[in-house]
Amino acid sequence: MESIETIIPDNEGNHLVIVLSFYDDNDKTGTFQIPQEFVELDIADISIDKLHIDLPLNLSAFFKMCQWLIDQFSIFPNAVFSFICSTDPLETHHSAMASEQYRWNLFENLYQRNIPKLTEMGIESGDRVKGYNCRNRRVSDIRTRVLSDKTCSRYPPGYPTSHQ
Amino acid sequence: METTNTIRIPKPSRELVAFIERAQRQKKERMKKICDKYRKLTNG
Repeated sequence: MESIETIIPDNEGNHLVIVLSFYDDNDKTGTFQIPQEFVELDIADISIDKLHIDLPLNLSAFFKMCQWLIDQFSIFPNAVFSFICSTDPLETHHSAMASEQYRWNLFENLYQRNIPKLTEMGIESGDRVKGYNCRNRRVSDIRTRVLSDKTCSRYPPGYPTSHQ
Repeated sequence: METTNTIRIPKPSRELVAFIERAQRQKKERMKKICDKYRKLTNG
């Protein structure tokens, strides 16, 4: 799986680590059942973690993260991006709210802040898929963004990538 | 302006649940390795 990584400091001792992981052709045709003729379509999953879990993170790192992601949307205009929300426990000041709901609200607010920029870039819609697992009452969310239909190569010349 | 469409799946298939859980596991493993690498770099 090819990936692009970045680390964003919050200038207070912590960092956000963001990774775009591009699914390979086997995942696309096997797991996602995408027809062979569309196998060139890039599908990237977004991963976001605090570098130091036990330290707070200044909100400015999230704002910088949004700009970095918008830059990636621009670099890969023909890609589909997904974000699978974690269901791991999370310590917050909102104990009545499930961790995944807290995360969802955070990313929804960040998304809403950036709608003008996204609209300017020609992003037409975002689709959300929510799957409720009733047995243990967990919620898993997948959000995908389908960008404009301009064509581009996966990695422009000189663009830094890493392989895992 | 409404820019988001929500599709709710009240009773997801076993396959969908298995896919999401597998994806979450793999994601967690990938991120652990990457974060370990950056912790070493920032502490070093």
